[in-house]
Amino acid sequence: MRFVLKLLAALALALALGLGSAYYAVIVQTLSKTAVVNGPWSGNLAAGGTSADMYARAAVAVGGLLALNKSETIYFVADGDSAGEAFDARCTYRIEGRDPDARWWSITAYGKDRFLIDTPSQRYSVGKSNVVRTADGAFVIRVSTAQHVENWIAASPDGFILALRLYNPGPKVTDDPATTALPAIVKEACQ
Amino acid sequence: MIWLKWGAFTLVLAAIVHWVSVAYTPTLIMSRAMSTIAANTKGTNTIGHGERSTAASRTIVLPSPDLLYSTCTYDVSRRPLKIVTAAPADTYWSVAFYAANTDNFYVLNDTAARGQPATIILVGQGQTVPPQAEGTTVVSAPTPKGIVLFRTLINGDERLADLDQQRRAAKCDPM
Repeated sequence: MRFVLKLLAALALALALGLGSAYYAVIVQTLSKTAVVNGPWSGNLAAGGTSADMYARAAVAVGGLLALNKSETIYFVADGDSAGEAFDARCTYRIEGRDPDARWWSITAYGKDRFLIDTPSQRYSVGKSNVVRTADGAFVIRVSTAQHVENWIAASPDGFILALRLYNPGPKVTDDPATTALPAIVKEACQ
Repeated sequence: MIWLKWGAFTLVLAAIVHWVSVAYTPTLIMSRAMSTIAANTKGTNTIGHGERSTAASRTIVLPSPDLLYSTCTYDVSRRPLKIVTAAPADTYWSVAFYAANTDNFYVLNDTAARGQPATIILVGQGQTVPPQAEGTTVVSAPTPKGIVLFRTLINGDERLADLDQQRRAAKCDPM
């Protein structure tokens, strides 16, 4: 009986250690190591490639399944604003900037579960084709649960993240994605 | 001494759990994705055209509402597969090939294809195909099973119906 109890304890400890260290190695170490940070945006450039490293491959499977490689598309994600504060669903956020250096781009809001947000408006994204620009080519996009007339992406009251996709990015972006000009995210009024 | 033995046993077991969980995570995630996609497209080696993504689209995380996705889960263990892309005009499109371990081993977009439909023969390990028409690309699949994913960019809501029609010219059939 005592032996069985010891064996069960060892198995439980081994399972916890093995899974915990795997999670740490893949999510914390590998995903963060391959991440490129540009203001509030963070991108995983290992997505969409081929890798001999089992940790890198696991990180891609978790963080970028069926993604394209970086010359085809670069994916950035933001879970907070340019001031470094996490998104607060009670607030309106202003995304401001100019067209990123890419053939096409879009900014999309997702729920915390990384799926599109279920709102009647279905205003999931704004992109190069439908963004309304000022005379000098700049744009302001608002992300909020409250409705806006133009350049509006609907947020979820349960929290959200933003994804910025750059399709066929310019060579300067693929060479140095950490310094390319990307839109800033500024917190406005909160309810 | 007995505690040392139990400690060593636990550590070895933990190392095995660690290795197995990291090594098999990609295959497990892809396997689930392939099963779901194959169910939606009514089988392997056949193409299916998904609707524009909405909040109800929950197969793959971070679906883009600005793309039309067509999918073909492949199995080239018995014979090669012939893939023909559609070539929707004046927009970005691509076809990407993923192995069962998630590796993206081949991709072609509209610029590389010069806006023309492309023919790609996907062969399994050790398979050969007779000489093909000029312009046909033969690609070797690193794993017998995987996913071919076609993307068509909706560059304007007014183009949705037209692009949806055009992308349906793509094919994915066994040879």
